[in-house]
Amino acid sequence: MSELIGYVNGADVLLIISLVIFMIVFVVAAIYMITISKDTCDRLSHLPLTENENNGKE
Amino acid sequence: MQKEQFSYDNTIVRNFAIATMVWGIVGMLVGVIIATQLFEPAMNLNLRYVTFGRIRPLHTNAVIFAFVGNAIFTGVYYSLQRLLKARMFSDVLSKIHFWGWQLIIVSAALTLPMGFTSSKEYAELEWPIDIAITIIWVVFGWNMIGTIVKRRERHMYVAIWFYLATFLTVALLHVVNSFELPVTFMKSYSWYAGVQDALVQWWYGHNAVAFFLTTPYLGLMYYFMPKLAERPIYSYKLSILHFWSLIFIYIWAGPHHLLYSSLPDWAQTLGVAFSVMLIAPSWGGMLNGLLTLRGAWDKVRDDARLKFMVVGITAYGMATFEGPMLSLKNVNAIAHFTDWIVSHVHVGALGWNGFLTFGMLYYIIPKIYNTKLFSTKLVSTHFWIGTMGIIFYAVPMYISGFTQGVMWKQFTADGMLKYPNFLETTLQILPMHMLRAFGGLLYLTGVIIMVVNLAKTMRQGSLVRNEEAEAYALTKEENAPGATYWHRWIERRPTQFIIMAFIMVAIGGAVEFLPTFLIKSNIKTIESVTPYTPLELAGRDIYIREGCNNCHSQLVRPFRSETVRYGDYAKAGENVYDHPFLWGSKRTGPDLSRSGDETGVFRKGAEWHFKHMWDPRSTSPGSIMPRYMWLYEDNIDVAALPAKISAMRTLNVPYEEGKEDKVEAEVSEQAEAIWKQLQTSEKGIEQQMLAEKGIAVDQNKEIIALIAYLHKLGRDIHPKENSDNQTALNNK
Repeated sequence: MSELIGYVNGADVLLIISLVIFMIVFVVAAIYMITISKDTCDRLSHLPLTENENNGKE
Repeated sequence: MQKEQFSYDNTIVRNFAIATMVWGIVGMLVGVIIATQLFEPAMNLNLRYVTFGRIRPLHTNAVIFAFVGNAIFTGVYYSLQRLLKARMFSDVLSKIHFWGWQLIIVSAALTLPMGFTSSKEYAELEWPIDIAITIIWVVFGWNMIGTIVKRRERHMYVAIWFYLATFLTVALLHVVNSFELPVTFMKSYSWYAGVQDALVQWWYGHNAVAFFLTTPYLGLMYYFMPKLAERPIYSYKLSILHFWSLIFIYIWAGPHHLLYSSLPDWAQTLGVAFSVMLIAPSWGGMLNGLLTLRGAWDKVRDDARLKFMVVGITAYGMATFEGPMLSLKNVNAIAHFTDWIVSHVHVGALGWNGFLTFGMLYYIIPKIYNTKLFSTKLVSTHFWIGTMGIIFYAVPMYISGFTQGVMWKQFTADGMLKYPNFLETTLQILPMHMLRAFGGLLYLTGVIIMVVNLAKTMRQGSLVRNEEAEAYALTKEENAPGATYWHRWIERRPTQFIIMAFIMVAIGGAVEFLPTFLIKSNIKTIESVTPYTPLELAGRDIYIREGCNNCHSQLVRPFRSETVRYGDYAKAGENVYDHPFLWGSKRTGPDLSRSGDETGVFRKGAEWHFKHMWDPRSTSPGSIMPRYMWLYEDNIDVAALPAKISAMRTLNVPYEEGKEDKVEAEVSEQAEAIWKQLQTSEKGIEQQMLAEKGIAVDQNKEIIALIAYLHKLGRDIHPKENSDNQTALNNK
């Protein structure tokens, strides 16, 4: 694989960097998603349905 | 704490909604007209202003930026105010945005039929309009971000994330892709050339689909689906994951439009890999939309507005599954350049964008007019006619595309192309083109029904221009990050959010662009490739003006079926002086990149082109190409050429100093050579012109420049000495 990628000057680094960057973004987004509490999610998901209600505090 | 009283601006929502309807009808009507031209070319009435090449961009611009654009603004202005519990930041900015956008659309509608085009797909508008788009887009963003800043709701709901990402990324795409050097008031050359131009263009083109046709509509879906279903979105967590993944991955996928081209292989592979990965976040959005209806599917049976939403979201799911499949090289080998892509695009446009827009308008108009829909039966009628329209459009185009792809590649047992004449493959699919036009007509009929229904709804109600509302103001403590979840640092603060989103969308483009632009080995030059002569440059600009690239590609892929039919496969080095590149994305007619290769199989003589452009059916019976009679009447604009040569030199095309002074003589010399060929081989042609339309053709006419350009294409790959004196002229 690395030999194949190595045919293009500099591309081996580029391709690996691309996938590493993606993994970082995905893992951070996943942590972001997991750490948000269920109550907060429920409140946020109801925002379009509660626009005429008070913007109460959590 | 006292609640604050304020009002929502519904006038701006109404204005954008009306514009959506008006431009929707215009854009779709133009679509139906060009669809008919693809089986009956005389439908252009032999008028230059309505030929397919000129008004196909009008159709795409009208439906994308006028219909969909206005629909986005309708939905954003409606939902943003309510989600943030705040009136728009500035009514003046709202008005400037509305009227500025309509002015841009009118400018497009006037300039594109006149042939003022940059030729870059979905970015055809010339530089003054590009500047206007930038200004108006900034006004939109200013107004939106200003509203976010003065909001009364702490959290930015996920729909707003999509709106912000749309604003940011479209701005980035538009500015980078529109780098062009003005030559005259309505003429410019792309700053980039050849492969680099292609990479930038399809980075833009693909992400125009992503960030103009997808992300804002996902935002609208996240607002209007819960409203119509009267239940919250299925999973807010899923929306978080799919938002960040989607905006990050989408931007990398552009190169899948350039598979088997002379773009470096690593960039193509990167495009394919990220395209396949794109299924996950796309389907995350689709499933989140559809599963919102869990336990409430009975509502869909009774509410045609929900039917629109469900079919729209399903179309999104289909299109976003098909897209990655089309990016696989083996599928792309058959589908690219065919009607398959047209069908794929229209499933997304008619289904996802169209149907979501209709569902949204049927919700908004009665709300802001404080009334009920004039007729729910008509909504249902619209839904079924629209659905039939999509089916009649898409199915024939799939059949047509697959037929084309297979016929182009078919060989006989003796190893010869089974359909060596491209025209055979065109004639085979004409019935499908007729059915497609019928499908488009059905869809348009549905839209007209909607407009009548909504106009009656407006008439029976009364516009609530300023809708009263009340909410608590945000306190300082609530704005502080404090001991809350770390991610609120982003989701409560538009500045941080925009910076993060910018980083996400900028990475992909940077990784693809920088090596292609900076590492020389990615674009190998070819010594025999020379710049265009002044006459060829004039011909190239005519080619661009007439939109020939809308039907003819200039990219021979490295397949036996293509090299046998056209000639040598495309190389990066042969396009280094092409500002802009003209590879095209569709083969309604054959590829033209080898039409000047004197050792190749595809070259046609000057007399053939001369006869063909006057009446394509005289040389190619059954052809669906329009006649270009005005090329025989209008003189070549020689006076404009010195400025064009200078501009090209600024763009690093190696014209020698003082070339401008020789333009007239060089044009005359090369035109005379072509004219002489015509006189020798087709002595009667001049008389024929005279008899038919009273036209006296001579070597100064535009047709001569166009022939010169066509004979340049591919000639430098296999130069042949002493032919037409053109090679010698190039080296002058």
